[in-house]
Amino acid sequence: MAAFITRTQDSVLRRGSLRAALNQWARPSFSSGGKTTVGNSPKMVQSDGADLWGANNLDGTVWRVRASDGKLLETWTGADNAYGILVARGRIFICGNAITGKLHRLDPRQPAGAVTTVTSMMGSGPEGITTDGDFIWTANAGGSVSKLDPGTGDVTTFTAGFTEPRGILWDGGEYLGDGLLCRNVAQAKPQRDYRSNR
Amino acid sequence: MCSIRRSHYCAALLLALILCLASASTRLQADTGTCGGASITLPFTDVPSSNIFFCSIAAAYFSGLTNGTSPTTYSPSASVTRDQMAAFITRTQDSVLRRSRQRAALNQWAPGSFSAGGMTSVGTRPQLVQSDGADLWVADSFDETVSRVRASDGKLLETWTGAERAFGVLVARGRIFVTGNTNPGKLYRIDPRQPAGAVAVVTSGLGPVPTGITTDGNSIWTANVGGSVSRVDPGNGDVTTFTTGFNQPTGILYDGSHVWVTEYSPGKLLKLNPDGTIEQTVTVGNGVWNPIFDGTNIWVPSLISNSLTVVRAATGTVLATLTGNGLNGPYTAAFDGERILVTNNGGESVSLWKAASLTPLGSFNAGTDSVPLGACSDGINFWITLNVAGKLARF
Repeated sequence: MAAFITRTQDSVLRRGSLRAALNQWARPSFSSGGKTTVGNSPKMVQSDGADLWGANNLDGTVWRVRASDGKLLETWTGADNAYGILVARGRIFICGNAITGKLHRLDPRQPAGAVTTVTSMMGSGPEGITTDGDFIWTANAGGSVSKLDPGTGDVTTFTAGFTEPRGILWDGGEYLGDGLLCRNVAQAKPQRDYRSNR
Repeated sequence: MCSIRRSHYCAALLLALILCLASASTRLQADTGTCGGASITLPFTDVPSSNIFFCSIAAAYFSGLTNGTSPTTYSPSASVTRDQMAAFITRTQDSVLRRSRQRAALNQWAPGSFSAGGMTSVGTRPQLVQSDGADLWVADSFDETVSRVRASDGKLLETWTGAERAFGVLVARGRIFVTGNTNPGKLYRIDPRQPAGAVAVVTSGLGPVPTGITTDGNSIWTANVGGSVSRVDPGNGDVTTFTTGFNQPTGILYDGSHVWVTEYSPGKLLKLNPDGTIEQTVTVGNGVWNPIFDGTNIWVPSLISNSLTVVRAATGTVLATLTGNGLNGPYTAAFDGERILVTNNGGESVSLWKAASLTPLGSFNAGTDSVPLGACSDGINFWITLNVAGKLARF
């Protein structure tokens, strides 16, 4: 039985993937993948489904690269100490990894320009960033986790139990319904749900 | 007393020793093997590395498909009951659906919401919407326009004009087809490779008031509220309109083998033959609009009955009539590969179900004076037209 169900799972995952539909069966490699010059000290990268968004830590810029051909489409400026990046709510959110943590935002529908700074009140050294659908959460290497209400800009920073959190994710719960329950738990007890990836 | 106490002490000591040995034995027997060159340790003590299915059992355990028969046993030689079989196959199905979706690849695990999704203004009265995989196409009956919105960021890319009473949208043959619910009905076509301008009129000879639109790969089919179903040859524009057995067709879909049409009232789901005759009639709720096919079942929203009927496409069997879960004037159903979303025309909300188990996942408010109407998925998000607000919402 174990063989049957794992073979079934493997088969469906292989055959159901976008790679299969696009006849992309080659093993990935750096030499064949192509490279795009994006700036100085690129950190994290995320896809919005069509384009890739990345943060250049030393340039304080955010780049947009078209996934289909790797073309650099645009570069946004003013994202000091850009580090972690999140695609959510039809916007791009970027951590400003400064001692006084910042969160930047850009609207991908607009022409490239300067990013908007949502807040300079995040905990110290935000790197990882995620969302539970309502709030934006950052893992701050300075020893905290911050939760931002994107509607009001209100920030709550939790320090108890955190030493040097850097990575963060939202697991969606067991499923969407359970996820809603888990989210409430996560908000009440963030130290149990968000852990360092170091 | 001393003897009794001693004997108790000895017994306790013996028991502790046994437990200790058992524990050590368990630790020692936790099975370790090699899979793909990597050393793998299972918590099970009855799956030795010599078992030729060691790696399959490991994969099943690590994928969450099996938890063993106890924390330390897998019972590899035991028979599988039908109960266990149900658990195995549904866990496998759920696992594959969750892990294979584009949402997973894009690290998009947050549940949908209207506040978080973003809105795009798309006209005065947006009706139905469809995705071409990259962009959304929205018909607006009041403005007589068709809007193209980029899914990745919600940007309005272009607006096509001249689509009188634009209603249903179909993405097919590299073109966008739109019904004009006029009398007689119209069918418009857009070539998305061209700069936006006026839509082309394929035909002005559809049955009266076409709303729903689908294709079987060869022909384009429309459900015409005026009492017919039309079949169009997109190559030459020839139209055949069928009226026998139809009263108020509203929605239409193709399940890979048959065209199905919904009748508004009394509510029916009709399975059609290629010649337009009715092969099967399924009684569903009342006030039926736009159904969706999820690969196995057809989900039929009934606006008046406040219900959602689930019909097995292969047989026409009604599997369930779902109520509650915030249903309030359900109008359009959409499927994202895992979940069914239904717009609540009367309730300013949408309701969600897990498609595999028909489990309700809650309802979500879209805001005052929004009136959710059309819905589709682009594989990552649901997109909903808010008819009164004039918006396209990402959910």
